[in-house]
Amino acid sequence: MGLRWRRSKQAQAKALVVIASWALWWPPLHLIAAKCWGFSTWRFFGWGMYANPDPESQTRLRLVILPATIAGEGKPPYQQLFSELSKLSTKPEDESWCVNLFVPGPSGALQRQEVANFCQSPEINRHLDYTLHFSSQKHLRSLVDAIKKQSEQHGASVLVYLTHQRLDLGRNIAYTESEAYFFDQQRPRYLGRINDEP
Amino acid sequence: MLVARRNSSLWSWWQNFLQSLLVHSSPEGVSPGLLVFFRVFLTVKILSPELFPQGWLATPAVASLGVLSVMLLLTVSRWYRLALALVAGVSGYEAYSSWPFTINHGGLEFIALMLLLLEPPPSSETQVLRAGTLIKLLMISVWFYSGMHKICDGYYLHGEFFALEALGQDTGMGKKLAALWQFAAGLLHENTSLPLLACCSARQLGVSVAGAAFFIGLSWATILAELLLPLALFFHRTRYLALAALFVFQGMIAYFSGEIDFAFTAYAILLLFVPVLYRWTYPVLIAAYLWVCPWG
Repeated sequence: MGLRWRRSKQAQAKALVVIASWALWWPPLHLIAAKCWGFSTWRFFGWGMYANPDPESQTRLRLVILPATIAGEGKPPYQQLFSELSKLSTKPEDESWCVNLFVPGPSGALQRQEVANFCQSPEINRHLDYTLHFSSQKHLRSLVDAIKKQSEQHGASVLVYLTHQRLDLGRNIAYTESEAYFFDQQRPRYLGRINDEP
Repeated sequence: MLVARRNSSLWSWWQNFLQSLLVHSSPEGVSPGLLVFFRVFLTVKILSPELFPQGWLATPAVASLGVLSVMLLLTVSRWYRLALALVAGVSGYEAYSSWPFTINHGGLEFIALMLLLLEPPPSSETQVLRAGTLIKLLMISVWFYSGMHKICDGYYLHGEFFALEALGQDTGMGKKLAALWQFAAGLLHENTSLPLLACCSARQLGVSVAGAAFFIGLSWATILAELLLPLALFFHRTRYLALAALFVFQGMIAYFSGEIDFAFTAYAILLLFVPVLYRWTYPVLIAAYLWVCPWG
């Protein structure tokens, strides 16, 4: 009986050390994991909240429906279109916290297209949250499919920019930085990180 | 065999290291009486939003009051582990149901409850390894790793995070930072205006040199406070000064970020560092929590 009680106390002490060790080692691992997998440091108990802007307030989702002529040519000119978008989006009040859709106009230049009531569905909001906080390609794909359906662009290829606001106080400039993705009929592709820093 | 022995020695080394961290971070320990008040706080903090979802004064349901009273009686009795298990269940369910968007301090509360629940009875072997001292060490790590994140993520090194908030002015923190800048600029006879910048655009900013210096200085003050104040708790000479500074710093975090709910948890753990007057400080904290009602 005495031995069992002693063993139980030892097991409890061991459990205490295991839990405390996990809690002490997890934050540095979380820091590395957030960098490697691109999820927001605000999540998963790593104490990284307020270390960078909340994705919901400082990240915008921009989608460009590609013309069929561009879409068929392998890797799309995502840097060129990003520069075009940077010049277009001069009025921040036009930018939606939900989804910003751009389509080529008759002259070929990009135009903003209103997406009415898109983010009223809880399902779409869930996909948006997962996309912004965890860069989840699965949820981004669901968003892209839903927006293609709503804008009746079923077979179109889409370029997606997850755009963040950046500042350089030393040079007194604001610029944007984006993670670019390409969605065609095959697997979505991550194209890389680009910015319009002068 | 060799691997097992090496693992065992690594485990012993880690246990010894952890114990020495505990001795230095908590030389005064945590008395059983103090821990009872901390348990009561956690019980009220975790159960109140569930029992009184519309607010403490809005829904004074007899049944909810009854459940809370029974839980509090259990928490201070010899069956406190049963109460802790129930509260940990509620806290765990809250974390599970909001996963993966669970708020971080919900995790801290859950871990604190698990440590309290699994704490073995005091003996010579477990004299240092107590739940109260481990919870204090965890809180030290929360501040420290927050500072590490701020260095590694890069948004604080050049004042970018605070400037983004202040220039955006679409969050409570942004508005308060802009107001703080205007106050500081007024004292320095500087131009108080800040350009408005909503996400996302590329352009010249027009922030003055003093404005840039203000945001960079504020960022580094935050980083240094988060890294150095927790470390200063380990040294006898700086311990009480660091403790006082952490009380003030935590209040500033709560004011600027609006994270009132987290502030109550942080203050409850901070009070574990103060082994006197706890019969007064915890009831005041609990009363303040119910009065402010951050969940309602």
